[in-house]
Amino acid sequence: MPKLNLPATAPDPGALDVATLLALEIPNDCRAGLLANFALLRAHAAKLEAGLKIVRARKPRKSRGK
Amino acid sequence: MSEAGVTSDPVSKRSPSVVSEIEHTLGRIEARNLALNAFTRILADDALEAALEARAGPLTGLSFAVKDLFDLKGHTTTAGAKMRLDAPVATEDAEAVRRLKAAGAICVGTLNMDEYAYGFATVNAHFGTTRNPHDTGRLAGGSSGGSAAAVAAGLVDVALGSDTNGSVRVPASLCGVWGLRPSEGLIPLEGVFPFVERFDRVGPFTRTSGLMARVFAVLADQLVPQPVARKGLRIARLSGFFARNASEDAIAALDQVCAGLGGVDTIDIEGAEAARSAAFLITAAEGGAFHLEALRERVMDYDPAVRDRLLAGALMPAGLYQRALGYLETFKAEMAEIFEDYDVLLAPATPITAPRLEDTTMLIDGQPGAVRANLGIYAQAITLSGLPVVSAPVNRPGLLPMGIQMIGKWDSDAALIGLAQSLESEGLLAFSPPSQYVGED
Repeated sequence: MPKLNLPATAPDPGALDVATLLALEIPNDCRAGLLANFALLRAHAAKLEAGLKIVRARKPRKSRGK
Repeated sequence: MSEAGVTSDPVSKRSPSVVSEIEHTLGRIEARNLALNAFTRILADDALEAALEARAGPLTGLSFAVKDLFDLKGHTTTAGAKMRLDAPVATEDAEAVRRLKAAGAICVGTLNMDEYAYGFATVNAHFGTTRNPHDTGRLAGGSSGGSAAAVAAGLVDVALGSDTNGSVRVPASLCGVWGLRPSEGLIPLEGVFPFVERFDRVGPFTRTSGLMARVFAVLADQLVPQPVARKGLRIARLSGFFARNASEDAIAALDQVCAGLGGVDTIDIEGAEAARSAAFLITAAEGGAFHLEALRERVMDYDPAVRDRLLAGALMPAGLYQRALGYLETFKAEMAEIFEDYDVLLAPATPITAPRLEDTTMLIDGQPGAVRANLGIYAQAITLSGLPVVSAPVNRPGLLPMGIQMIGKWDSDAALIGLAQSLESEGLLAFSPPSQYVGED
């Protein structure tokens, strides 16, 4: 059973690449799935940033006074 | 079904009727579970012993089973993981289990789930896939898929699941049963294997809203919610993000309910998509952090699909995690503003009906996305709000089930369940038995 050299705390943004996976000795079996999940995380990071822009530009809702 | 035959009459210490009912339940499980793979363990001896000792209570004689992340005294809590098969047995029942037992309900087994509750499919590399009772060629949803399937198939009256990002609401929708994601702190989490503690909730499944009300009262230690008339309630339907990836089935089901209500306002939650993404990122980071030691030591013992998601989360940049966390209060504030104008919000619980077993992807914004991650897009967005949600089956007999989310104000769980009872009595919402079992009971 391979043991992973995972960092104790979350690494810098540069961690999300193949070179880092190699450095961490991630088993081959995990690499494709891991990279696919990194892509998902990046996509959600972009959606979060887009949402933050929308929310910052948003005016308070007008109460319908019902 | 035993649910229909339950009365509030006290039972004697040794009740032949309860024993007979549980024997019947165990027989039904034996007959139907093989095709569904809902159960991971059938605890027949424990159940019959409990039936012999049955005492009067609000749930006397009802059968229940639990997602395999609730502690059951004397049994190992696997959380759907092979690596936990040799974990020490639990020394106490989970508090939610204790409350159901104290109310007279009888536990008959443990139920399948996505490993460590990380998925919306109940496709488990170690314990197999749970199949949908309405069509065994389709998924039951997850991660509490065994729980929803067991209730839909009539194997138990009640099942316990957990909902972190939609793990009650998604399988409830796909299997056509009632599910609850309660307000934080209302139903105790003691003895429940954690996933993402800030989002984890215990949630029950039932076939009727009336039984949901009785079970909620026991689990939350409250009075039984009574039906709430909808007249005067301000109800709105969510559009925008909640319509963009919705299938025709999802739209039609919600249309049907809204038409039955005589028409409702339609509103958009501007921050919904970002809320879903924030919940996704927080889940990945906190789930990964929780599993960090086990990933280091036993990485190849994980279900591969879960392993790779946890690894990605464990390696997520801290700054990104902090950005997502920072969005929590922003989104809660937006939801609080909306609830100044409305009492209940309605949205699809899932974007599609139960996908076929071989369908591993679904279209999200025109692109293929993993079913495992995307069945819960609408549920996960609401998770970030912390608000209570009833997942309700739309009354559409003869069609694949589709559920809606009834989202309420903070701590309005009882009122939501009360409204659910009214809408069920009007015929807008209802469980439809799977056609394969009609006439068997």
